[in-house]
Amino acid sequence: MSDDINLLVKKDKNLLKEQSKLKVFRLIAICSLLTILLISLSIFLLNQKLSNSSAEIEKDRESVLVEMKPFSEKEGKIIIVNNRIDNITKVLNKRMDVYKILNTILGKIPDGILIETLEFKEKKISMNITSYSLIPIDVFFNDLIEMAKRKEIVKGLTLESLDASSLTGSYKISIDMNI
Amino acid sequence: MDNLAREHIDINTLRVLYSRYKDFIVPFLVIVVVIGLFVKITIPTIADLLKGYEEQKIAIQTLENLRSKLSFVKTLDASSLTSQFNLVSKALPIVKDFDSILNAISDSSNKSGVAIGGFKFLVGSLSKEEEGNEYPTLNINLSLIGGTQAVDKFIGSLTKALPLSEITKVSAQKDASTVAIDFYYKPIKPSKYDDSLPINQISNDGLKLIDELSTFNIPQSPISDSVSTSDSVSTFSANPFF
Repeated sequence: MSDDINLLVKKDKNLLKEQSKLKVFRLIAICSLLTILLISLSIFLLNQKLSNSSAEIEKDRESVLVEMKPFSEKEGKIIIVNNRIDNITKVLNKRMDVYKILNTILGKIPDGILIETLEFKEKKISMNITSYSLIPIDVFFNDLIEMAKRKEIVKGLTLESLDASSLTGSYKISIDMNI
Repeated sequence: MDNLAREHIDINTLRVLYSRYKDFIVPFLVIVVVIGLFVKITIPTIADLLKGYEEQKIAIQTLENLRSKLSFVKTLDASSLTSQFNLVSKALPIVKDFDSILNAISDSSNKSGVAIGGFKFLVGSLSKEEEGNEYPTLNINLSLIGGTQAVDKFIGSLTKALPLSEITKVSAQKDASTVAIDFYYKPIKPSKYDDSLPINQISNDGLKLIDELSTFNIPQSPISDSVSTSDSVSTFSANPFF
């Protein structure tokens, strides 16, 4: 006899299938419920532990802060000293050493040259000099040209004017230097 | 009539379905509720827990920093720190320090032997901090009695005096010269105390700089109290030093 025409057998098989599905479904439901419970419990315990240790850390922090209070002036001073050192270094790197520049240029002026005027402004030096001989002027110029070639202080050199006075026998020279 | 029949059919269908799947309803609801709980409560709680651990990590680091700060501050020599503090504060004051500036000018004048003909302060606002300038300055124009050599001597002396300054303009003639000087200062911006930040000890370069600054002139001579300043420009034609 074929199973296809045996309705009773088919029904039992279907029922068994349904029941096993239900069992699996119930098992999944119970397992998920247990899992969520376990996770919740674990989170609760971990949270408790975390808040306990956080409270302990906060307590330690408070006690260290209390201990630090007498040294707050020292702490402030060392912070300011470090801050000032940083800023002083930046200022020293930024500022132009005008004394060194002027001293070097004035040091190159040989005897026999008189400085009439000297102007320094915005990386530019203008000089008016007088001499009764062209020799010291030549020496001074050569030194300045050498400095400009080596880019030592003087970056550019311009001879603005050279006047010779037959009355006084002197030479008046105007020079511009870019530094 | 048709609608009524369809409704009856639907109700019947539902009844059949209910009777067939009624055992599945409770487990199904449990699974749905569990999924809902997991998404709405468990996941955010886990995220909060992880955030709490991160915060605790930072708190532990802060505590370690505080402890190391405490032990470092305890080892600092108070007198040496105070002298370093005074020196760097003199070199770069936090405010427009007229007293130190006038002392520096007076001292440089004495040391170089160059007499001062007059001076003019370009003060600016006394209350507001200069905006947009990383290193604000207090400008002073000085008239010197003497030519190029006198200017050179004076500048040489002033370069080695505190507070730090920069010569911005020189105009020297035979017997009289003028010099424009910028004296630096740097206000300290107010900041909230952050105990998580460590304190650095003074670097070797910093110590070298302090040694270098200690060779500078730190003028102490008292200046006449008769100096007064206006909000914009103060001019003194009389020589206050000689």
